[in-house]
Amino acid sequence: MLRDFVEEVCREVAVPERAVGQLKLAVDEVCTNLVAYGYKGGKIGDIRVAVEPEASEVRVMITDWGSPFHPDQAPAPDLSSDWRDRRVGGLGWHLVRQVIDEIDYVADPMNGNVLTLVKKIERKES
Amino acid sequence: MEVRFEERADALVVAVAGSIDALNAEDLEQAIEAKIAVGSVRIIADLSGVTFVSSTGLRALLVAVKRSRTEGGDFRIAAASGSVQQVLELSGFTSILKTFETVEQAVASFAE
Repeated sequence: MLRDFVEEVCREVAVPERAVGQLKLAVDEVCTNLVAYGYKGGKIGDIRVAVEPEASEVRVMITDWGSPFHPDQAPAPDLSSDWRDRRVGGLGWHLVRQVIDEIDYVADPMNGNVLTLVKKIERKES
Repeated sequence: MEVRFEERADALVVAVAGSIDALNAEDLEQAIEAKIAVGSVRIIADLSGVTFVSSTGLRALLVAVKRSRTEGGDFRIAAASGSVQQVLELSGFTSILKTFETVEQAVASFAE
C-alpha cells in the first residue's frame, strides 16, 4: 500500500521509472525498520509519509513517534565476506543510502522524528 | 507473492512472482527450507515475475544460499529484472551467488 502511494504520487509528475523504484525501496526499508525497531516491544504509533515531487527532485518526509534512530548509527554492511561468513540482514540502511541522494534526520519523539529523503531526478531532454 | 515449484532433471526451480518484502519473506524462506529438508538442494530461483525485493527479501535468498550449500547443493538466481538485479548488486550478493539471464542457462549450469 505504501509503495503504491509513492508510485501514484510520482506518476502524477512523470518521475522516471527507475527513480520511482528506488524511492519505493527506500520508503519500504525505512518503514520496515520503524516497525521492527522504532516501535519495538509492542509500542503502538503512527508512521506518516509525505511525498513532495518537484521538477528536479522528490522529497519524502517520514515522521514517527517511536524510539529515535539516526541513520548514521546504522552499522556498516557486510558486502565482501565469503558466503559462509556473510551476515544475514543489516542491509536496509545501506540500500537507502545507495539509492537516495540526501538524507536528513531530526529526532523529536514528542512531536515526531522526521526523516527526509531527497532523490534527485534526471529528466531526459525532450 | 506467489511461489511455484517445478522439478527439472538437474535442479528444482522455484518461480516467485510479485513482491518479496517484510510481509512475506519468511514464507518464501520456509517454503524453500521445506524443499531443502527433503533433499532438494540444487535450487534455481526464477525471479522473472518479481517486481520488487527489499532487504528482508534478500535475507530469505541469503538463507537459501547458506542452507543449500551447507547440504552440498547451491541456490542460483535466474531472470532477475533490472531493478531486482540492481538490488542484488548494491547488496554485494552478486559476488557470492551465481546469477543467470535465463532459467534454462541456470538449469544447464547444474548439469555441468
